[in-house]
Amino acid sequence: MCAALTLVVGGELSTPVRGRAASAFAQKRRAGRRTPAHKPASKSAQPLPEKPVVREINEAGLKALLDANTASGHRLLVNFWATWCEPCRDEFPDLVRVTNEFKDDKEFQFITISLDDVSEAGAGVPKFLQTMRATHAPAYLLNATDQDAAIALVDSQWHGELPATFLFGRKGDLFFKHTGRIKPIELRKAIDASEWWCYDDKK
Amino acid sequence: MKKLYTCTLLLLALFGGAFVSPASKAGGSGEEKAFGTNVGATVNDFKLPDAEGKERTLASLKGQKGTVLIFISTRCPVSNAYNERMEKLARDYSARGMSVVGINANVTETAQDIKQHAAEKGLTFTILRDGGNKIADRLGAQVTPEAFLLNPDGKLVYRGRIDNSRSGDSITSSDLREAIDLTLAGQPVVKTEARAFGCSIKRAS
Repeated sequence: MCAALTLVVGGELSTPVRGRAASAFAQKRRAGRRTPAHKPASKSAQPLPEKPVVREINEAGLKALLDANTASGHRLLVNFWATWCEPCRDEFPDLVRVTNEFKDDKEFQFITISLDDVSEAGAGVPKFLQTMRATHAPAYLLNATDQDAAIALVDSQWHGELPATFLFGRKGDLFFKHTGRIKPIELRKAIDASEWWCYDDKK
Repeated sequence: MKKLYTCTLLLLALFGGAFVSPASKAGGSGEEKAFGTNVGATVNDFKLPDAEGKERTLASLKGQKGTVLIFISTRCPVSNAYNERMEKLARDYSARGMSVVGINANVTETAQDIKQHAAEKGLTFTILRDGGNKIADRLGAQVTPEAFLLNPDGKLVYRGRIDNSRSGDSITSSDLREAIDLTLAGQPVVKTEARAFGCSIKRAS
């Protein structure tokens, strides 16, 4: 049954392979998220968190990051952005809000990768992340000599337009992608669906 | 039973329209073919207005030795970082029969914006306004700046970035210039594609 169903949608998503069954935790979260999750973030009165550390990575670092996640069997949400990119800045509050709903899910990780100039790694990038309260997401800045290679590592279909959001499944498969500003409801649905995605272990 | 349950949930999620990808946005499989031009394919003639509103055709703008089409923006910081380099490219190569044409396909930027921006930044090459993204769709342009190099026969021989350094401080790969030089020399382009991060083109729909 499962195999037949995965075949139906296999063309749209990347090659499905079976992973672990959904956790009991997941069911708890789904039930518990109904109430407070969608409230608007009215945190302006609270002090800002500490500035996050932004780590520089190159193509090899990016590859290692993706490989390590695949090895861990966790789902990974990656947002490529830049402080100079207006739609990136616009969508950031939504990204923070939706991913915060999943912050207790130990098998889900959200990371941000900035395409700003290296000089911003200690300046504009952490400052923006601090303002956005994006402290739950490890922050990186891609300093690649070959941006084309870095883009191809993530998705060969991607042209490099920002913002871009990629969700990798438990097997490192590209489960969902979106370029341009993402709608929070689409992002939430995708993260939810990735948790319940059944893989076919015959492949 | 558990397996069946998880799959049912998944199906519900899928039919609920959870997945949006650029491919599915572009429409059905028939439409997808119309989006984008592969390297080696011929780019047919088209007509677009320039910043003055005057209709121009590709045939009237193309150079004897080839044509560079660059999708640009008046607002994108990446595109703006390349203003001087694009202008220099146009000056360096126009006398050698290679014409440089800018195309602005951002629905958010008006003809007046384009005209004013070109004047302020000293861009002297022709800039067309692709308000309906017709040509951006035909070529498959996604970001600004993004270049498309056509050989004298109108065949697409290179698509992608201008070079690998946004600031211009650390260029190690002048991909567009290398492709142009090879085309001028009548030789095949070696590296036919190179992408880079940029601002997405603000399309009409």
